[in-house]
Amino acid sequence: MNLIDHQFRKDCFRLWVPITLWLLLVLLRAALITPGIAEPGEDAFLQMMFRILTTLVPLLQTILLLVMVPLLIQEEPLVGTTAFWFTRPIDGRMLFKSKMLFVAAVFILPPLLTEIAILGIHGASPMQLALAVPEILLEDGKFLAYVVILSALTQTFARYALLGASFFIGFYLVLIVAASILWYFDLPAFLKGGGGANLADSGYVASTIFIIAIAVMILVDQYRTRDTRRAWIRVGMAFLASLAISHYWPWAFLHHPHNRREAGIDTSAVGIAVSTDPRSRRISDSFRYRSKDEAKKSISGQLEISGLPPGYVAEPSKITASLKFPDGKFVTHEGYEYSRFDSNWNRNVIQHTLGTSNILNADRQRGTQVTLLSVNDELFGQYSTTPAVYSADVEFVVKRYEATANLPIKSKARYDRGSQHAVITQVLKQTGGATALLRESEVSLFFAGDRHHDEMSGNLFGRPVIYILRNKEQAEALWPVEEPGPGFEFLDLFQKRLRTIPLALRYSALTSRGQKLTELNDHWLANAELVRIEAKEVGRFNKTVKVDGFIMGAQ
Amino acid sequence: MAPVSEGVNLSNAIETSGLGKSFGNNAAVKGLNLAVPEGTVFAFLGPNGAGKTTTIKMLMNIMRPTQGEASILGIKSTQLGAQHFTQIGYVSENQEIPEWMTVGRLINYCKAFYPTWDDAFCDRLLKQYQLPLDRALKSLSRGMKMKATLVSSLVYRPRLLVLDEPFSGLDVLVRDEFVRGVLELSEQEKWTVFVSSHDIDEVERLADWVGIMKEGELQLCEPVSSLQARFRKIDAVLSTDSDGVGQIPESWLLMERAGHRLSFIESQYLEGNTERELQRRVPGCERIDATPLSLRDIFLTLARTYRL
Repeated sequence: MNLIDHQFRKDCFRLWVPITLWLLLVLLRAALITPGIAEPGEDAFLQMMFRILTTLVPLLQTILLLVMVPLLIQEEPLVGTTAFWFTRPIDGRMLFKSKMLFVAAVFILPPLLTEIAILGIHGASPMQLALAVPEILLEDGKFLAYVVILSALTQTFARYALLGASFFIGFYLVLIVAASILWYFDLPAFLKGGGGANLADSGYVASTIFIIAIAVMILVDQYRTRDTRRAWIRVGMAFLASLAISHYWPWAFLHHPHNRREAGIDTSAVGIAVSTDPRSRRISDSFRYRSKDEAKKSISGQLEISGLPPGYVAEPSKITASLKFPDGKFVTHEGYEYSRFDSNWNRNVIQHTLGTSNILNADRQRGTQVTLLSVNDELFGQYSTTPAVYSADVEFVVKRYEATANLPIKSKARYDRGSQHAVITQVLKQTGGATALLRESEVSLFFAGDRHHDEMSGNLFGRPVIYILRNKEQAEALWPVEEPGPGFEFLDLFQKRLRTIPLALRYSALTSRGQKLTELNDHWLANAELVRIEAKEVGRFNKTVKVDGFIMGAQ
Repeated sequence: MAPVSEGVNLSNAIETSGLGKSFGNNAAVKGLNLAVPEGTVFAFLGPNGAGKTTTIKMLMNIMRPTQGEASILGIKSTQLGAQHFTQIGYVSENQEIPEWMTVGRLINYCKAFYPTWDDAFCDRLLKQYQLPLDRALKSLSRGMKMKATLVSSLVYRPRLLVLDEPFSGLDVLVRDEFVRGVLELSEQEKWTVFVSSHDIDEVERLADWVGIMKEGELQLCEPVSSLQARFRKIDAVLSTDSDGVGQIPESWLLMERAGHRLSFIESQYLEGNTERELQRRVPGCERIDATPLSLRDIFLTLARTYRL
């Protein structure tokens, strides 16, 4: 430990300027994130500047890290024949331990501890904090693994920079070419990968652990033997293996609570039917990625769902359907429905959640539009008017709508519950309506299932929250038009775990023809509030639906 | 010319057996057989590109040999680890030193790694070489940097000191100081010094053994005293009617005749024998002088004869 400490202190002294800068940036970033929804500045300009800073600081941190790591490693280079330490009693294993101590003490611990502290300040539970630690370690560890390995296998900073840039560009070129090839040619199913978010997330975790472990092994060996050629061969093989692991990983060991299989409610009374109303039927040409793909027709219709407990919705997530014609012809279809909260809020259930206040600017919902079937053009042409037997097994996601808060529609009105926060920053009045500028923040953790690894941070349209403007006295409510708020363009892409999302919620009591739905004036607004409604996933269930005499072309 | 390293009774600080290094199809060092007796100052000579630095890098386990093997202080060179470098000092013109450090910081940094570090000795050397402790190495002249590196390689009293082209780029005064310093210490401490150079003048003062490399091969390896004993410049004055010398022995090198004067280098000189042989071959010889040669002259003779 003595020599490790000696070497560590030498490196700290050598790099004291960048270390100080780095720690200042860590603190600055913490200072920028800590206010969360209480970002300074009443006006949009200041808020925008603040958002720019929150993006710029982590970017500077990344650049500084990319410079500091090679300075640290190449102070005692592992490549070449002229390094000072090669002919001194400086043990490679000691150097490795000392360098790793530096990486942990400077690059991993300060950002980890500050982020955990910030999450704690924002009301994250002990469980959330515990889940954040491996997420941060995996994410930072993976990035550091790439940078450390590149630094260890190059002799000078110039070579490191050149190789790094070449790899970065080369990797994306190869990725584009590979993706194009994979897209154009039909690969055998076993090579396609995929298999849902749980499997993809498990693959991400497995490949990240693999990358970090292999990087450490290569590094240890390089410090021991300095066999750079062998190390490069290993790096190449490990890189390909990590891509294969992330893409073809077979074991979904992560089971996010949001994706549980139980229904969470009694579904025995739930009934599913395909609407027989021809007006609900839509027939459209399917989009083709490749000209060689066969032309298809997509037939969609409405699913009528009955028997759900009040306040609950069931959204179809997967349909496995078949169509059997009298002559024995048989067509199968499998499709996934992607729920988008901005379009999929069930107006009937929202109305139920609101109680007596009537939503003025939203029609009642008749059913849920889904793709029932997809068939090739030729078959559609032959059988479009032929009655057939349609049956489908539909998987549903069950959600419960819950009004979690009522915020008076005025500036600085806040909502705080655990790690979820919201604040109204401004209320802008306009003819026949009002716009509320609102900032929301929440803790979003990968291992808690809040977020998938390939999701962009700040996934605005994936938010399971809606704000309805309600005047309880007049028993009236307005549906919002949700838009990004000021500063959204500069959303901090590096800050995934504590997301702050600026929103502009526009409420209008005017019809498209300019007719007033109600007299929305200062008095109306003075007695109004924003009702925050959250959709909470409670489980999943499957139901089978069967239609005799199903005619594909009926509309 | 066969390498001469047999008949040594001392234990060897460095030994190589068929040591070789190839880069692709280019052989930089070919089957080197070398023995450096402990306690000697061994000059490893040869022109640039002869394979001296590659040999030293293999000896120091900086490079792996592609053939043969070497041992340093009884340890196989490929197994030379950090602990063994507590007994080896290495100074090279090619070595990258941590130039951001001050002399004092370099000394303090190195000190922690050597159990036998001698502070008093260090202070003495720092004073002797007039090294400023508070100056960064990057701000020092090349000579001062070499001296700082040398101090950091001497003060733990290594059993073996390896110097790879230590005089390159140094001015005459610094060279002299450097050579005197190494000479004094090696004599006092009975160290083995292995010094590679293409600068024979400086090495001559140091060395008691010499090895000469050419195109990756060892051309000669023997004590300087034996080398200087067997090399003589022979000058003879011939009588007017003397004929030619005829077939000359292999050991007579660079023979020249100008009028009545004949001169050559005898590479196997034995007092009396060479004179008798010359008189037998050239009966009209009136006067024969045998003058000892410097290491530089011996090297030049060999270089001219064998195109080193």
